[in-house]
Amino acid sequence: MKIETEDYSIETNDQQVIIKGALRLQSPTAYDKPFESIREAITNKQDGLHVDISDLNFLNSSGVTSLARLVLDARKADVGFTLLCSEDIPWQSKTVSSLGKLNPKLTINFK
Amino acid sequence: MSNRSRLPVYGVYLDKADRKKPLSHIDFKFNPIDFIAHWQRCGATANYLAEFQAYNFDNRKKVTNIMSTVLNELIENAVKFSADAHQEASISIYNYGETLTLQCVNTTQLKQANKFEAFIKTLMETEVEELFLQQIMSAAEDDHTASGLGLITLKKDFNAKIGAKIVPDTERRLYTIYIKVVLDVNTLESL
Amino acid sequence: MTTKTLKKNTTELINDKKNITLRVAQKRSDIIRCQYLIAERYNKYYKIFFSKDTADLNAKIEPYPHKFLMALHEDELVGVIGLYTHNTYIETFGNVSTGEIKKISHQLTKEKPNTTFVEVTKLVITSKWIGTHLSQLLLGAAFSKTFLSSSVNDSQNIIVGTCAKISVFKHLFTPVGISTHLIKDFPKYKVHELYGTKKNPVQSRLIIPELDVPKQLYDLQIPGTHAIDAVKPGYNLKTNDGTIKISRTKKAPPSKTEATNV
Repeated sequence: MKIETEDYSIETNDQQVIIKGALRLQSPTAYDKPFESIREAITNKQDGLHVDISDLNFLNSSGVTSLARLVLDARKADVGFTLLCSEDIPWQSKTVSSLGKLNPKLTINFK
Repeated sequence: MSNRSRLPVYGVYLDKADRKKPLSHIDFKFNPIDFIAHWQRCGATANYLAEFQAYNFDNRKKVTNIMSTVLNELIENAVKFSADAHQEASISIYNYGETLTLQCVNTTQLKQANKFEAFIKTLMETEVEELFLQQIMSAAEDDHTASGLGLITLKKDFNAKIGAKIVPDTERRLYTIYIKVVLDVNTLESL
Repeated sequence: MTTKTLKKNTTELINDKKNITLRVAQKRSDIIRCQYLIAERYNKYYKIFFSKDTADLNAKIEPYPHKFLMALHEDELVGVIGLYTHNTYIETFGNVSTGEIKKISHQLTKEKPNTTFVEVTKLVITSKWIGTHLSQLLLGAAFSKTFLSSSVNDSQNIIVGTCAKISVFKHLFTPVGISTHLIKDFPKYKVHELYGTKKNPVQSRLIIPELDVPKQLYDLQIPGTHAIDAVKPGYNLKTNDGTIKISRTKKAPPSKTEATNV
């Protein structure tokens, strides 16, 4: 499944979710629909979820809130969560390390 | 300005660097309605202003990304919390060489001004990483539409110094909110 | 004396009536003015944003209408009503199917014509005009042949849908004499959290203009200038073809809100 707009794309397949571009939606709730496939994957994938944000140049604070909710959801569901990030995108290392405090099972890998 | 001392001023509002003449300065004035009508203009404007500034830096790509992130949060806030969609708001960027100062000005109503004041006090007093986690947890539980996370992120991720000033406009029963974000250029380049 | 009476009437007209010019937005500048007024009112009252491409009702992002009818007073845009000419709101989000629309319209008209389905939507007026009958004028005018057929060549066989809370049907539609037929309740979305309530739910309804809209409104001259009561309650819409007096409900209250989901 792939959601594609002029600003961002979210591709969900059996192995992983790949988010690219600039995600700057109006509010945390505005992320519910685009992140629906990720939420479903948390419910269905007991063996863990891989989310690749290494080409996600921007995520606004509403998006950070929503991503954090997913990280919390995974913790509640006891599902492993791996984030693949990029060192070249300054916000990622900072934000993602804070998210690690929400879920001890969050694995953060850098490309 | 006799009652200036009585105005609520928080954080780095009166920064030493401000007394110097900026090396580069750009003002962007806008009406929130343009951004309400087409939300993606927030990002587009942040990108443009960031690219404009980034020419003064060594690592243009990285600084553009940081500046755009910072500006986007300020613009989004000004758009969401302005009392009147047709009342001009502004973003100014001053480059002093070692520091960059951004100022965002918009008008808001009493309720929002009070909320903002309470928030800015908390931001000044609380450890930022802890505040970030608190906000995430409360947003996750209460489904706040405005997550209040923007300024926290700027302080936490980019080591920004934050200041704020709230000026009442008694005639119109409105409040002008000034937010100042001071960034250290060496820090930005080394992120 | 005739002259005296005339003079008195003229004064009354200035004090009590306001002239409103109605026209369909066609110029780029007019379309932008309409979009901005709708976006501004909806954001102020319901914290809703608009988008041309990615509507998401749970994220409070609505689609812009495709056509706009403007209400101008001395060149100032004082109100707008919109029209979805395709991908209508009630079909896209209201679970209303083409089959349901055809079934209800067939029951009402006993005909099976090839129909065009459009939706009247997003009625807004500026703050200054609260308490006037501008909302009723705009709503009525939206059901004119001219506006409904603004995107099609044929004004025949147009069926109109709309989505609003029950109180809007009662206080806006009924007073101007427009009958509506319930299709179904509108599903719950976050976008209506500040709009509909349990006691005042949002519904999708259907209107067959030729049956349900008073002739004076259906044939209303657009572009055209029409006079409305400035402040007084009661009900009079004066078109250049004469005064429309419609009184299905005895007291037609002036509009209280500046934006309705119609």
